[in-house]
Amino acid sequence: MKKNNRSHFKIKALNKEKILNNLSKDYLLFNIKQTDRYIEFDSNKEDGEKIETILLKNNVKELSVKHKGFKLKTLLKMWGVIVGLILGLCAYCFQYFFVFKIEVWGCENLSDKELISFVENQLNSKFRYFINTKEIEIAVKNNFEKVSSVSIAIVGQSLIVSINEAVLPDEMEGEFSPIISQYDGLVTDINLVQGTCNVQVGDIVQKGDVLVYPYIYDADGEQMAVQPKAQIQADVWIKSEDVFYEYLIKEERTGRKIVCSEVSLFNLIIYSNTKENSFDNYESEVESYYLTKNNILPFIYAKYTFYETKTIEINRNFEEEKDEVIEKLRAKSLISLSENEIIKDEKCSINNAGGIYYLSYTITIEKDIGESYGYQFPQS
Amino acid sequence: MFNFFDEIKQNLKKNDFLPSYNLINLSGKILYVEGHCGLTILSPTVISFKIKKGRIIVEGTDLFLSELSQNTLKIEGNIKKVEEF
Repeated sequence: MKKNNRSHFKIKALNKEKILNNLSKDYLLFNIKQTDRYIEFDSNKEDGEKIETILLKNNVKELSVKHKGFKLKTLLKMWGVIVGLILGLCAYCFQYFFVFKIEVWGCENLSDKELISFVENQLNSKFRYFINTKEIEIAVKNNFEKVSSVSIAIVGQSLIVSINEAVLPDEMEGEFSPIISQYDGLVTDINLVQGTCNVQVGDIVQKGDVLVYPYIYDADGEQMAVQPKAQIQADVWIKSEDVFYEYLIKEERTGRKIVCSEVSLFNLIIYSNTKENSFDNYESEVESYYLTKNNILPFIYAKYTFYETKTIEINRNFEEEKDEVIEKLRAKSLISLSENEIIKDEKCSINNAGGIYYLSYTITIEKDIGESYGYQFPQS
Repeated sequence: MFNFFDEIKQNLKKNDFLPSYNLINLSGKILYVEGHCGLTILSPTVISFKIKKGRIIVEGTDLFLSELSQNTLKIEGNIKKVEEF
């Protein structure tokens, strides 16, 4: 028998053994004890009420009964709990029928807020069964040209607006982009197919300059938009620069550091691990982040690191390190090159200004500098 | 389920002498009884019950009936003596 699910009896009777014998014929009794003039015993909870009735019929003088354990009937009689549960259930069911949030998926160029505001205006009611998603879909499609397809669904209490944005080719939009220079360089060859050229052979162009305009003039002098197509070769200069100091004073970390930390809540420090900063010269770094991901209790952990520094003087001889510095500068320039590019020329210039050397390394390559959209030149 | 007492009775050729009750005394702490015919005395020092051909008295201290059904009972406590009359 489970101790928590039982009925406990305490009785006073003259012929107690007889009563126990009668009860034991039909029911199982446990822990029968005689204390002074009383008898105490337990029974299964299911039998409790029946035993109580029998005892009352047998004229037991004093009777006390305690029912222990969980009883479903008792719970069902707790009206406050039942009413609370029913009200809670009703409130949950009631709010389930309403849409409280609008989410937009798939927006890249379109504004989320604009779309959400439009959909909100289209809603007749927040009640989910009054919302006609098909109508809203059609309205969105008609009012937003950049939307190629739209699907609206109610998931839980959110109205999900899933859209696909249309990608229109330039020709359909009636606009063409000019060919823009992607590099600085000297134009060496022009092969114009379509459009109006803005540069000539020998011109120096900068990155961002217009090379070919997306229009032509017809015989009547009318401007006509066309897709610009051209191949413009240029000598492109890849340049990298550096400064070399023969005498230099700089701060350097010694490797020693002190780490302190603190935890705060609403600017109130809750925990602090502070150590005395004994460094004369130091640099400090602060790193802080939220300890919890929710916004209920925004505990902030801050870590302060103090690095000891020392001042060092550097004396270098440019002539001794010249080759090494130039080689580094060349490597720096080569990083900017693409694969299979032919180097036409390399040049290094050095300017001395009283112990400070300004170095400039220039690599000249030949390259097609115009970006011709949607047109592939035939391979020669 | 395996019935220990039935097995013993079946193995004995002459089992007429066997009484109609069974007792098991576990280390003088628990006494299990099968085949009792009713409780006659219940107190912390003496518990007595009827059997078909007489009566059994259990003496000890702190005795109590931890289980009682129509024909079985279990006595717990410090059991000193079990006697048949």
